[in-house]
Amino acid sequence: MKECIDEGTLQAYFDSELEGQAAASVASHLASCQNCAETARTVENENLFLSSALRIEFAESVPSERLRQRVEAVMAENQIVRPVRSNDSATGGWWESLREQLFPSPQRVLGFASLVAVIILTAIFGVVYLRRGEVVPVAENRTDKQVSLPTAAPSPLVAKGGNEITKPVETVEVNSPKKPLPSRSSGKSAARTGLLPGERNYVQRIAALKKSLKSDAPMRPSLQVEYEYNVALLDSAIEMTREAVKKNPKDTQAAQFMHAAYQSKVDLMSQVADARRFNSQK
Amino acid sequence: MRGRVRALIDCMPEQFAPDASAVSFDEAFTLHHRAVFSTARAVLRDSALAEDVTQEVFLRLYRNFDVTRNAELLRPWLLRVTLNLARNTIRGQNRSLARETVYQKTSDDSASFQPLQSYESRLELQEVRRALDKIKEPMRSCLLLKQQGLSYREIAETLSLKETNVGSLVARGRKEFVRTYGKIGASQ
Repeated sequence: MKECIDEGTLQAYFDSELEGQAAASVASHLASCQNCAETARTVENENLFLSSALRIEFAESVPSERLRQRVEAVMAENQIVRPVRSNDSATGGWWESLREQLFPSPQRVLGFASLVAVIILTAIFGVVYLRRGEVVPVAENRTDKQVSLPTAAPSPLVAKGGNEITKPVETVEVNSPKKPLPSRSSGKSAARTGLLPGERNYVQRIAALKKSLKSDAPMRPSLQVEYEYNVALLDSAIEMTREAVKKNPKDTQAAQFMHAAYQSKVDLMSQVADARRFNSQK
Repeated sequence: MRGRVRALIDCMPEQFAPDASAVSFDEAFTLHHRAVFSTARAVLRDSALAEDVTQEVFLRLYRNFDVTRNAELLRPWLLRVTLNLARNTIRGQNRSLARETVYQKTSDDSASFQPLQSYESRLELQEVRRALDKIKEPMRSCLLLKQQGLSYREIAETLSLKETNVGSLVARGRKEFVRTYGKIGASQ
């Protein structure tokens, strides 16, 4: 007589988990072994009993529609709320995590790029304008105390005639409003002439990507429009952050925003390029 | 803006879809939300918390969709996350009563969810749950997952077990359940 069947194999046999050969071997053994045949009957009965008992556990209906609505709502909410939370910290990790979450796959890259661009713009507006808000009162106080200085005066420290030693922090702040605000239309070409620290690398990568995108087949018109829209959004984000960094080169947060804006443009372009390459290979 | 993003996402598959046979997020939800919700409810014994867990599971799927696109491994992945979240919820939760009260209010006017009708059914469910509580892990999870139609391979994948061990774990769980429930003779 062959060796008797262990309980795991017998269970697998009744759960239809055995391959043809193994199942046939169990069946033939059950036909020849009285003990195993009896055990098999018990197992079969217990399986039926267990299955009908557990059916009660799973008998309650599932609120499918409500679940779907909840998932959709939380996904929509998540896309908007999370970036705001991530603005709280200015550490490098936030952008990485945001990018990971917002760029889950190349096929969503354009869709999410809109969102990223808007988030960056919001953050930049927040940072730039909040800073302006902080700075203006300082400038006003100074002009009250001093003889009215022309707005483009090169150094407020010289004008003070050494009456009081200004704190270094203030000198940084005073410098920024004194500079004339660059006009957006003319500023673009002028701003690009002198590269800021860390910018060259991005500019080179963007140029290379632009070249490779141009060499590919043209995009579908609707996608082309969306792509250009997103690039334009990111460009204006880059432009604004550059201005902020130029005004205050020591501001690490502004520099971080600028890098983030550049990085998101590089990401957008490279992911679109990858996706298109993949698509053309298919 | 959201409409714009949605429109973009909708138009992507034609252009960039990496694998036409891959399951989309919507399909994944349609196919598996029942298993996720039922498993969560079986562990948590609380529909409101099971809804929370289901929501979180699909949110995680959404975030990790690239990693989990393999249709074969999708259900085990979802149920593994479900079980982990449900167990974490049990460990961390002491707000079940309050939630249940809120849930009762909202579920009363919901047509999509009908609680068990009869008193006998409720009583029977309580007994089944009591018996299940006596079964140790991973046998208990093996029984729950098998009941939902998962193969041994999927169960092994979900619970990080060896596939060859699943049969004996199911057998031990079954024997334990029958012994505890103590009704096999009466019901036959």
